[in-house]
Amino acid sequence: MAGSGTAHLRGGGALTVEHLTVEFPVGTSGDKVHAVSDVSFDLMKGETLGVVGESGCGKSTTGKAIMRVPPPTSGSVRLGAIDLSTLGADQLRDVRGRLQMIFQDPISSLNPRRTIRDIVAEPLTVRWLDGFPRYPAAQAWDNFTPAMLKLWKNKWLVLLTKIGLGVLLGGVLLYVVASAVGEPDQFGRRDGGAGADLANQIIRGGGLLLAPAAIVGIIGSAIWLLLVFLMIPFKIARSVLVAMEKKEFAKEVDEKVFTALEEVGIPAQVSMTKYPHEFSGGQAQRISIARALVLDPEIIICDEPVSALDVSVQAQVLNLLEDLKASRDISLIFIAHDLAVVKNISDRVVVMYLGKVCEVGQPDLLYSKPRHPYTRALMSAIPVPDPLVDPRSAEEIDGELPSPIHPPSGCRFRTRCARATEICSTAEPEIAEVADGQFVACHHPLDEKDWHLSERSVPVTVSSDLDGLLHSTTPEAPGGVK
Amino acid sequence: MSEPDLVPDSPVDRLKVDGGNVSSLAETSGEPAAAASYQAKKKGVFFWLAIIWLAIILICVLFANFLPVPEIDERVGDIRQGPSSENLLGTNNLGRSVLSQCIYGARRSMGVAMIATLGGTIMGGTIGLLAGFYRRTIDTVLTSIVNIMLAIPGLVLALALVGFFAPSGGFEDQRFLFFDVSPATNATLWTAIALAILATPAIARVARAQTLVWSDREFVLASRTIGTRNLRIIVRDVLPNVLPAMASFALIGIAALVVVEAALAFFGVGDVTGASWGIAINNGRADLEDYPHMVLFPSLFMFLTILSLNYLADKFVDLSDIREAGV
Ligand SMILES: Nc1ncnc2c1ncn2[C@@H]1O[C@H](COP(=O)(O)OP(=O)(O)OP(=O)(O)O)[C@@H](O)[C@H]1O
Ligand code: SF4
Ligand SMILES: [Mg+2]
Repeated sequence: MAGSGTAHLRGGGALTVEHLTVEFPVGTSGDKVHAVSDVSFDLMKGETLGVVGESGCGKSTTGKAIMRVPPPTSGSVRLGAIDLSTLGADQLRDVRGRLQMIFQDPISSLNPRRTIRDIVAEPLTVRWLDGFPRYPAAQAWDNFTPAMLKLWKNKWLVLLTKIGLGVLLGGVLLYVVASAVGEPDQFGRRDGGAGADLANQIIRGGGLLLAPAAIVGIIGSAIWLLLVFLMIPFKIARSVLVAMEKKEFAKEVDEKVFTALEEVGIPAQVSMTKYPHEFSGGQAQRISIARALVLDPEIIICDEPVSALDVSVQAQVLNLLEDLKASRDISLIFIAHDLAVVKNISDRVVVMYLGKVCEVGQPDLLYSKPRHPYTRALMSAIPVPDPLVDPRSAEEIDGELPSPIHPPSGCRFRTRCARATEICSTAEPEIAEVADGQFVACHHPLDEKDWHLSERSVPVTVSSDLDGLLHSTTPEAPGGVK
Repeated sequence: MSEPDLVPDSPVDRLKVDGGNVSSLAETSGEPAAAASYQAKKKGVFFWLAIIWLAIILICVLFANFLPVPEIDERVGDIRQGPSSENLLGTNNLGRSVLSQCIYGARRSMGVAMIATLGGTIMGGTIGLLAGFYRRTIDTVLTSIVNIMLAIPGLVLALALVGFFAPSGGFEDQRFLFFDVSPATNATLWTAIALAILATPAIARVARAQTLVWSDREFVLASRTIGTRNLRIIVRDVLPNVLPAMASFALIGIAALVVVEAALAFFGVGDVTGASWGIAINNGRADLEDYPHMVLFPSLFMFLTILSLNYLADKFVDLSDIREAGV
């Protein structure tokens, strides 16, 4: 399913991700984890886009790369027409409010040492603080630091320093050797003679070569130190300014936090001064949602927001997200590791495997007419609440997920694919439209006769505990149950 | 939770919120037990004993002059007398009160250890936080600085600093404005600075390791995604979580530095004219077999202090280890 290509992009999306690639260096051997490789998708306004794939396929990494924590290795992320990678730090800070993310682990998402009020107010506080003028010393620091780092990493300087160090070491070695073979004088000191003299010259030369780096280092540190000391009085002045206006701001924020908490179903009155450990996982996730909401985002990326929760709580949180989406006109990217969660709430689903896109389409289509062998395997893993269906009949994917450090050539799914042939190992399948609105990256996509191979693969009626709850709790949820 | 108002939300509230869905109950059900275990952390009798002992030592440090004990250089009786009703802990080789030596000694021993630990914690903490948070180049540079500091032999550093900056000479009283700048104080201060440099690498390592862990947490990512500046993330998100481990380590650090200070005094580094536990022990050393009380009592003071500090450091980790959520 190594799938590249952008045939499935519709254009004009609220968020467009193109050729997104994220690699993490591992060890010192130059190996890389290919966590996400050339992934493209787009999200239309008001849409919910599901992203599914088994654990470790790079879903979270994709979400984080869109948020630029850390920024992707390559590829572009466009918010409307704005390419995020072209923005400077300040511009990016302004745009961030429009795009928010809810993380996988609700507990780890909240700082255990801050109150709920402070956690939810943080986005507003950060923006408010940004509204105060940056003092000159800090501005100088901001401009000076990158320039300094760039100069420090300048390849000529680095080369010169390396040569200098080598020469220095050679000189010292020569000196030691020359002295060792020299004649001892009356005090037992050995005189290196001409060799030692030469070594001295070499050492001096090495020192000269090191001089530029030393000068840059010393002057740079001096300026840094100066800036640090300059910053202190400015910082104090600014703190006074902030302290004076704090009270008014706090009142305003309290109100906003209060509404946000109530909106996600946390009783604000009693919760504001509490700490995260006093809440359950589901409540913690609601608080994370409230934090994402206070900036009024257009898009929220939900990274498996419910996979750490009880099934019953899952349904509540999903309903909450659905409600918010409708009432606030938010577009969602919804990440999950199985189709069951995503199926009921998504307008479109992207199936990922080992950092690549395999199949894109409406969830119903992916269920009833999967084209990619991996999609079908994922689907049949959804439990069917029918005693007549033997759970062992679930189609299993053989073998382990291959290492993302050395992903298989050609189609990345070929090591576990029953349909793999010669071409799958040599050529990477391009994503292509196989049916209306259904795109697949496979050399041998499934067709009609494959959909009826076993009774398990009739998943139109698939229903799980979760489905039941979804139906019963919010029959009227807008855009909810499809 | 023991108090009802600590319960974040009653099931009734939840029911309202979730449209009367019975399953709402499931979400809150786990909490009472979880919170109870949070409240039930026992401090225990040793905790209070340690606190009381350290409070006594602190009083000695701050108010030694006002305590009803003889001056340190006052001759209170015959030399080398064992404990008696006039001289509770006996007298030393100069006929001075051993109790006074212990009490005034606390000032120097603990003072040096605390100042040094504080300095070491500030320097080491800053290095560790920056290295752990920024990683890459900054980490490499700072870690190598720490490694170089680790390679410095402590005694040599102390000797060099004290010898260079506070050469021994007359130990007469000198003042600059309100500050005591007599060479004796100066020597003590430089001893503390040397010890601070010694303490820095260990604390930097603790801080760095903790920062590496905490700065990978998702709440730090969340802060980044809302455009929080790095400095604010370090101060608000990372530091409060790293601090307990650092504080606990600093308590052990004080205990260790008390010993080092005693050893330095014992070897005659820095000012050897004042009172310190190490000097008191050194004075009694020659008569250890015949008059053990001269060594025993200062050692006991030191031992109890170190024990208390270590115990508190352990307990501190337990007490500050807050649960992160109710699940
Ligand atoms: N900071 C990192 N350094 C090195 N490798 C990483 C890093 N973050 C993620 N990876 C690797 O990238 C791959 C994708 O990870 P990712 O967390 O995106 O998976 P996922 O699809 O979210 O899985 P899950 O369902 O378990 O959350 C994994 O192999 C993971 O080990
Ligand atoms: S058939 Fe080939 S291209 Fe399609 S999933 Fe299997 S290995 Fe990949
Ligand atoms: Mg993940």
